Amino acid sequence: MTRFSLNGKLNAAELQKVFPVLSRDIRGKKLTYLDSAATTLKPLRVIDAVDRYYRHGTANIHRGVHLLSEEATSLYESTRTTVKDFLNAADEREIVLTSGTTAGINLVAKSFVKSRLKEGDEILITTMEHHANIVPWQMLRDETGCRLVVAPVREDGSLDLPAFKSLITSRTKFISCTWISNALGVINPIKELVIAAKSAGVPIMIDAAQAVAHEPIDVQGLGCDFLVFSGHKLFGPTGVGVLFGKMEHLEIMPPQIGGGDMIKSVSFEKTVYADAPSKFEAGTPDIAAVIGLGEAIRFVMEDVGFALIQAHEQVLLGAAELALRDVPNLIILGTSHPKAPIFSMVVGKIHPHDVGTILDLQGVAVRTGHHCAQPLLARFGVPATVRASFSIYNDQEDIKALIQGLAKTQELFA
Amino acid sequence: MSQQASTIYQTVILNHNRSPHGYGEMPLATHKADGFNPICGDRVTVLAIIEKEKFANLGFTAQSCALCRASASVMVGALTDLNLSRAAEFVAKFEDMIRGKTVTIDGDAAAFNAIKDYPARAKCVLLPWRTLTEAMQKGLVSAGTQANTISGTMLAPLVSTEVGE
Repeated sequence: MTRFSLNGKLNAAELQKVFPVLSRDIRGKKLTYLDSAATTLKPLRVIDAVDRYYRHGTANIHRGVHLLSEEATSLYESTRTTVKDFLNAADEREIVLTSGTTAGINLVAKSFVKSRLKEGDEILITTMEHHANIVPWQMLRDETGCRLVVAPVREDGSLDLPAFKSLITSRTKFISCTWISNALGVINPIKELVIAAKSAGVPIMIDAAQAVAHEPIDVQGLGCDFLVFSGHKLFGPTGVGVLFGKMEHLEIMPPQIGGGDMIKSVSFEKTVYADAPSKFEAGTPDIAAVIGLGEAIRFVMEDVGFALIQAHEQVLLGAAELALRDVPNLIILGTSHPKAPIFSMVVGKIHPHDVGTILDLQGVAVRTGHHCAQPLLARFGVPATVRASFSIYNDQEDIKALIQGLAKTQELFA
Repeated sequence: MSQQASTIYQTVILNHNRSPHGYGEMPLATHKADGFNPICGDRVTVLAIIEKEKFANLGFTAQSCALCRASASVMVGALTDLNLSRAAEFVAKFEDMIRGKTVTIDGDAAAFNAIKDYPARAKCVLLPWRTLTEAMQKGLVSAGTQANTISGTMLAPLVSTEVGE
């Protein structure tokens, strides 16, 4: 039983009340927010935690002996403990607080992977990666002469697993792949991917940016070497994220950014770096966002719970699939299951931006464009789609609003 | 249809989208440029034949949203047969209107007035006009037979561009 359970189900009506944005009118219409894959809305609990830090306790962390600084440090570090429990990591020193998924991937690329590469070595990713899990590897490729190998995606949007496995060879030095496709919603068999990597002795990183709000994560159970996510896709603030890394890796990784708060001692002759994770957290971080992230995770774990989240989202997934099937000339990219409630749609010959604007005029917020996954959309032969993504605060009314909005769009362009 | 949707997607705009002016290739174009909006993937190619300091012929091809396509069509209608300095004034005025300034603009171009309230779509509407500007800045497609038909003054930019905005 959590705060938002009712008869064993998620009480979406009550849950909506703690997301203040949902009470806003959009161009005179009730907001239907279907863009959670871009960023989730923030519950009062998170907003209040951030507000509290600025209103009652602003101070820097890890320095100063005054009460405000001690409180701020304690709140900041409590997020690390919360994340450790949330991910079931073995040690909270394995939790590096970053500015987001992108920062985490870049850190691992530069600090862990780069020194292991020589010309002809390979890094394996998949066709369904977000640009954040493509571009850093291309930068490494250009620096080191390694090859970027891309595992293909099938017509239904699923990862071609046999091909993925066959692409792991003696030349493969690192694997980085997404758990859930941000553009399609398709869920990869992540445990199987990790097993394939580990059995070949190749370290693997999981991009959990999209998965973090839909799947419970157990890094020890998965056995992955690294895992990254962003706070803002988990009902938390922007500007904060997490890099989980196995202690044995983090210990040997050099920091990439030097500055305050990442050292043991500094003289003009020599600087001794702090241990992980501090050596990766130079400078004053976004303290309020880190505090907000801790609160967001506690909101998910204490107030909602993944059992209810997953049951609720699967109901929405099924209902939306059924309803969208009746929309004429609509094609959904990524039909394979398992799947998160994310729908990438091509609406006849109507350009996604036109669909997006007309939906917006009905109060329906969707994402239009390439979703930072241009190679994936190129795989399907389209430059852009309309993406509707659902989360815990969505309900059947939102599906209805989407369907009505699509009907109006088609009526206008008939 | 809601009142707002009909404000943006007015009949005049929808008609230009369905049956655009000047759509198609132009093998004898003296000026040509490709425009691309990396955010949404819209592509437009603007083609022009300039003779006697006038747009004797103006056209485009596009893979784009309806607003971009209709805007290109309206541009063709507004600028064809206009001398280059008058055309430059019109382009600047159109951009001012999209940017929310109060201007008096004639003809079908006025239908885009509502876009000022939807800044995310301004880039779609401005893409053909910016691409025309780029075509003018680039100068002649090739220094061939068309070269003696235009003067140097025609190569001046119509408006300043804000590439990559």
